[in-house]
Amino acid sequence: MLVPVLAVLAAVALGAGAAFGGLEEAPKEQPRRLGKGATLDQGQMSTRFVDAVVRPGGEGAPGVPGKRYLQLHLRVTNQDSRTISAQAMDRALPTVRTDGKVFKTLQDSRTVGVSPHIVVKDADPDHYYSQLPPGVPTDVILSFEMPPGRAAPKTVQIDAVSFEWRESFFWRTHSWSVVSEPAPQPAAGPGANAAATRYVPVVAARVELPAREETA
Amino acid sequence: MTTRPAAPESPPAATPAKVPVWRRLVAAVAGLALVAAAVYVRSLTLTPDQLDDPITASGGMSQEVDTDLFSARLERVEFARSVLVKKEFGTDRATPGQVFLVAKVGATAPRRPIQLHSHLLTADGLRFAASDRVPDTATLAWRWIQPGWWRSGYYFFDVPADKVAGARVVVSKQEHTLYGDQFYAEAAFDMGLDAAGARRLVGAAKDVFEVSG
Repeated sequence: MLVPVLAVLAAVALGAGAAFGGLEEAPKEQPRRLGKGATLDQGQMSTRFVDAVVRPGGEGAPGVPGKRYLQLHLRVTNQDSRTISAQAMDRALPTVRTDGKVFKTLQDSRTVGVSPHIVVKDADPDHYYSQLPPGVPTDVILSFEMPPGRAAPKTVQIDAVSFEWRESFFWRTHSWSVVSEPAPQPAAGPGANAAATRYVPVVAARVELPAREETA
Repeated sequence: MTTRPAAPESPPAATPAKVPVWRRLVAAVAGLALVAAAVYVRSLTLTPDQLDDPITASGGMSQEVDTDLFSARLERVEFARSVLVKKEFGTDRATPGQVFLVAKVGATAPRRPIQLHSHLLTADGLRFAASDRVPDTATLAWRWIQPGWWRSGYYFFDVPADKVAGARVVVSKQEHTLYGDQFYAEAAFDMGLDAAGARRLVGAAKDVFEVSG
């Protein structure tokens, strides 16, 4: 009596395990793919990806005349309970690629590549601001200086992370921090330190915007 | 009330002493009240986040509020749809995203000169920094408050009109993030605006508010 029941149970367990991919580690969840006009909830802020355009600077646009800038237009709603700086978008969008090549990235919270000039834009063409008031949708421009002679990209890919309201282990206070995971371990060898675990931000969404060039 | 195993040779001890029902009831109610009070007192302990908050001295409109480092009062509150900043050479027009709340604050210091910053705390707990659309030089944050006399100036907040009711203007010495005292006391002023009063005041917003700076 007991043996057939056990056999059936074992078969069911094996079958279920095989059906869900065996004992292999589950494949990592792929970041969401978003396009132009999509909105992403990043925890601390909610971001709509409006446009990507290459424009000359000056005359109502960030930058100086005579240079070209890649502008990423965002509409950001600060979901924090206090005013934050628009500079927070540098951390919220750690990597920007143009046609698949890295344009700007954050390594150990340092910007590598072309640093963006991040401004808040309103109806007034002569002024730029830097505050994101809580709960107010605000137009933000990330402006990257284009290397001279470089053709305007066809597409721009943006990696967006999300923030969580996390408790500090030591102080038990809360703050926004980037959702991270341990970095893949480098192969063991000289210089590899198994004890040191590096954390890298989890890419919550990969946004692809078509880019175009506007002259004056 | 634990029952002890009664000794066999003393049967009278096994029967508990007669306690009147009303005294048992009183004891039960008192016990429950004590337990409830203990639970309630636990809710008064501050969370680690609250432990970092500054001590706040509160007041209303035109009321003098004293802290260790300064005394301040909220003298007037009005609204404006633009601010004209008159500089030594030329003027600069600041336009709000929503509407400018203009808070006129007076302050003095008991001992040492001090510079005071301000933020707006809405009824639902949102904290608006003083707007960067009006340059600091036109606000009280730029001026030094000296011992011995009162000095008045303006703070400008760019806020949605529906967040104004029940909001408080908070004035404090800005702590440095790296060194120095992190726990300066702050002064909070209730503007005393309900929804109707806020609507009336926002409706009466000036087109142009002039300030020098």
